[in-house]
Amino acid sequence: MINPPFPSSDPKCPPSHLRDESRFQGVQAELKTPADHRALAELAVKSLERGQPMTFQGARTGLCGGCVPLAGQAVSLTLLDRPISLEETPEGFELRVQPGYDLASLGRDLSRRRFDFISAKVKAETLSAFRSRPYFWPPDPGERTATIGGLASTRAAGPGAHRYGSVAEHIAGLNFLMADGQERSVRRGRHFFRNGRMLLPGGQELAVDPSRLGLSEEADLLDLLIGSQGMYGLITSLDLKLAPAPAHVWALVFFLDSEEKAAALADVFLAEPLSPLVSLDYLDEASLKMVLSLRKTASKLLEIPPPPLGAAAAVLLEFHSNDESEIESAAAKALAGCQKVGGDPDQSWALTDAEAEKMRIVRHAVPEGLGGRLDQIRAKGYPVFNVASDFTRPGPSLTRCLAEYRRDLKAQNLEAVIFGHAKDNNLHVNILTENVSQTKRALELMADWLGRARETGGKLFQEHGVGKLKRELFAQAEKKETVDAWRTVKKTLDPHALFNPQNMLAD
Amino acid sequence: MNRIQTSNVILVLLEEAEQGLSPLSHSLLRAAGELAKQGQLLVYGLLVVGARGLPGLETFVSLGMSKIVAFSGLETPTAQQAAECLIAAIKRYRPQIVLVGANERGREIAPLAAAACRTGLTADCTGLRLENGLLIQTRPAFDGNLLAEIVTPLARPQMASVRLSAPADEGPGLVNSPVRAVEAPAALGLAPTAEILPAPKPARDLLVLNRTRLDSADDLEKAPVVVAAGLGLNGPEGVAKAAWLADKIGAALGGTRAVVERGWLPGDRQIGLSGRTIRPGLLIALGVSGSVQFMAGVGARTIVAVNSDPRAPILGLAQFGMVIELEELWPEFEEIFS
Amino acid sequence: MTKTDLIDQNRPCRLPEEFIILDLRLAVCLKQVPSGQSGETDPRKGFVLRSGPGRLNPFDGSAIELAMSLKDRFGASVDLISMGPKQAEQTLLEALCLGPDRAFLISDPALVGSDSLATARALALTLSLLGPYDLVVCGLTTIDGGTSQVPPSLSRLLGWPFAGRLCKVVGLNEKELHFQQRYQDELLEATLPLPGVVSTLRESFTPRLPSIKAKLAPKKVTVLSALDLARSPLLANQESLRTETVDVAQAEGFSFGRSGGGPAKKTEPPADPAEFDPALYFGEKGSPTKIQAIRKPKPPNRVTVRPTAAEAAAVILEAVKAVKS
Repeated sequence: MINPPFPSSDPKCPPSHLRDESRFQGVQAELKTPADHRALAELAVKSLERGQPMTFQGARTGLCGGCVPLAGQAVSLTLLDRPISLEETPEGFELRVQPGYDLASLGRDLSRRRFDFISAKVKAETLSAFRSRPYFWPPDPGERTATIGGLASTRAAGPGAHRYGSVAEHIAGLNFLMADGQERSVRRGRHFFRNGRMLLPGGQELAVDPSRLGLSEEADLLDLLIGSQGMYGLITSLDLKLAPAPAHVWALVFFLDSEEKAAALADVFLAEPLSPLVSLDYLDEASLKMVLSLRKTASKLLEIPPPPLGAAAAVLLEFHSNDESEIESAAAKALAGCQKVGGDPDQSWALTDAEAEKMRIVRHAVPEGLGGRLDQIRAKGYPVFNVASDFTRPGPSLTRCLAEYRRDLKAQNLEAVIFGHAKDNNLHVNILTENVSQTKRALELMADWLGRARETGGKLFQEHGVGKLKRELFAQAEKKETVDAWRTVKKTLDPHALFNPQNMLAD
Repeated sequence: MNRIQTSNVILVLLEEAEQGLSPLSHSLLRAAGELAKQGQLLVYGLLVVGARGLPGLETFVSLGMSKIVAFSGLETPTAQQAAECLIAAIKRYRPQIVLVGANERGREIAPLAAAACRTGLTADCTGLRLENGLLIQTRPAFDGNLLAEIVTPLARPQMASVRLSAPADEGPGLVNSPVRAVEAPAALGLAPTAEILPAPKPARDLLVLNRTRLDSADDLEKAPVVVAAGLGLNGPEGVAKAAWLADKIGAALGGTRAVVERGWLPGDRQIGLSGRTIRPGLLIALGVSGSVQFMAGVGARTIVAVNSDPRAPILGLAQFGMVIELEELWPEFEEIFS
Repeated sequence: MTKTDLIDQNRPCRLPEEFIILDLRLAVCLKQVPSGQSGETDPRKGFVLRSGPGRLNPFDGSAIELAMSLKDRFGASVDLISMGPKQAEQTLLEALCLGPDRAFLISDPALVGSDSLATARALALTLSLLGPYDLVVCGLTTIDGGTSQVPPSLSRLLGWPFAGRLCKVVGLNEKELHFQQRYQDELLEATLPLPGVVSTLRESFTPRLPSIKAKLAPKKVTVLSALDLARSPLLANQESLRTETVDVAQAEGFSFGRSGGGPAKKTEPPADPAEFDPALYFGEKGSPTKIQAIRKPKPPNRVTVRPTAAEAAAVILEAVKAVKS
């Protein structure tokens, strides 16, 4: 991100800032773009004093309208886009960053091992210790232009969640500006629940059962704030836990000629532990067609051959290890698995190290292509949304889960693009609806599936959050006690509803 | 070891265009003229001509050449055929310096000739000057962030292929000196002499079966100049004006995601992270903010950006930025560019 | 010329009942380039100190794909050849996963600092040593300061015809390659007599990706040193390869390779390989050009507020003129 040469006082919010990736439309609001941390803090404090609501924006790549303003001001954090400092800890390194720092810049700076720090106080010994080997930040959501603040707000995860978990596992702390205007440091393990109560920094007490929020009994404040979609306060900096980068990365893609074979293959990999596996994903035929059609307009896909003709589904694996022979033997096992389900081992791709990026490009092309399809349908004049699932459904095999979804879709005469993470059936089923009747049927189907997911203890709003788009769904699908618990936290931390108003909880 | 004997000639490989010589050839001759002054040298121009023959020599008066060498008999020479002509001219006139334009064809012809002479060739020079008979050749180095100054100390001729860059690129260069009549030392105000030679034919060469002209403006990824239409154009009418400008200057037209989403341009015109990647010599960005998503698809050598928002990130990236509302420019543009 | 079908480079062909197998040998010259942004440069020597893993020059990926599509279709053999530091071996090993037969790396400190002519010399000597080849395929240019000079220079040193900017292969037989070339303003269809050298555009031949099976199969790269090149038959006419001693009029005294359409004749290598001095042909001393200095350019960044339309138009027109040479 380049700082523009002149700060401007033009208050008008351009149309681009009234939407996010979901195309959910906001209401005209004033746009503030604070240039640095001090300006941001001043703005926040003043707004709190005056009772002016704020909706925070990063790169606006969200899928649920979480950053779209419906009342008050839009506050863009895109100028707070730099790393702040680097510290060595017993476990490794912590990188403190501003909330507007994006994932792509983080990746670039980590691979170059060079940062444009704001702080001048980064010790030379720390830097040289850091440079002695490559480090990475394990979460790898596909949207590289997203900001770290946004990823924390939605508790984003990528395909690597299979092994590494979500961003929550890799954030050691953050600085948080609360409703009283004070900024406080929130570190792992400092403020936590005991018997349904937590003493907040600043002296207040929060009384809520964390299990109702989907958190563990001993969850701490950090777990509460990560994934809170900006509703409780403003994150002004984050401390990222960097881990030593694996010496070897392999990305494998198996193309199968039927959905059944592909699902069976993924189930084989889930059942039989492949030690270096960090992600296991599934792409259906419609997803592969999406990739094919995106090749016409996206140059970066032209460097990658198209999926082979006759491929009806694909299974994607990523291996991380410091020991290449471990990866090689896992790859050989995976090949054997492919032959076991009746797949053709020649219909496969093996991409190593820097080339592994190609598989991520293919995988990310699917949601991107979906966005493009949405635009095309809208251009015809119908304000359509994508009715998409974002929940986990532990228990049944991928084979069974997919078969059920297909059966239900067929029964309702609907078509879907299905892709996602095989573990816990974390599938994104995207039903593109073109008229009211289809939308209604799709929403009913989604509610039905959510119910089944809830039965086996699935997480109903996994990676994308709830934002504004899924408020009603959230209220309907979750148990009343869950919705009440969220309300309690909101009332305690943001009594005047000034932070990201109208996210998650319909008033 | 015998040092190679050379004469006091700078040999310039020229190209014909619709009327007269191509713009690149004019630039080469300007550069050669400056060098000729610096080193007391003569400029010879080399042309490969077909059945039409050599154009009237009066047309070359103000271009500073002492002699025009024309190889006749080849309508549209292949790279090798043109290289053979150049080699023959080098053997005949033994120039100290040979300049070739660094366009697509020049980048094939020059190395063929240089390898034949076993001499040094510096490609894509953006600056040239003489120091004690040694040609200092400046070109971008590595990823373009640095400039290299290269010399050919012993081998002759010193060959350079010359590329034009946007004005004021760097230091003591002369490639972009203003057009003016350069006096040839030997003949002032007189037409150059001409020598017409039969074109040599290489023994084994590719054989062209047919040619199809391409409308380069249609091809976004390969276009040398691209006009990008952004949200600042305020609507399909503004985009239409951008398209008109693109057509006038022979540029391809692309747009940002915002413009494509609104239907002001079709999807295959989208430039950016989820669109096309372009690598033009020049990008003219009109009303484009220059977001990360957009710039991810841009690898332009030079950017000219017009935007009414001084905050627009693209103004920090462009070589030439202008803060102004495009609507203020269109009325006069309509006259100027017609 | 044999009538052949258009080759769909994205689909390896299943050979029909009566296939044509051509006993042709192809060589692909490739280069490892720094991955991502360039590493540090040594300002005195002017070349990039390679840091971090390298990757295959994307243009060479196209070249490999062209060669492999010919191998799929006609059963030709494909050798990979690269000149570079030892770490370039990794790129060759990865490229071998795509199906070529052999890979060779010419690596030697004596080659460091070679300009494009010296590089072409090294490649020409290697190709004549490992040959005889029928077709040499190169990428159009390299992304690290590419000059596009090596492929044409290489063709000249070998004495073979050259065709650049290939975008499609139409057909192949023992005598010639039939293809399309793409320039900015025109598309040409042409044939090149073999043996010859061609270069490919970047986006025309989408490289295949290695299958997992190919990835796991064992591979090796043969490493050659500068002294190995002493045995190259092309050196029979040593004088003609060197620079400073050559008078232009004598430069074209030799030609190596096929003449007419007949089989290649190997000429004798030089009598005494011990007389071979790499510094005469390669490296900084053997390169006709030398980098005298490296400097930073002045960054031109001018933002004009409220220019007149005439000024704005002038800027645009100047910039367009500068590009549209």
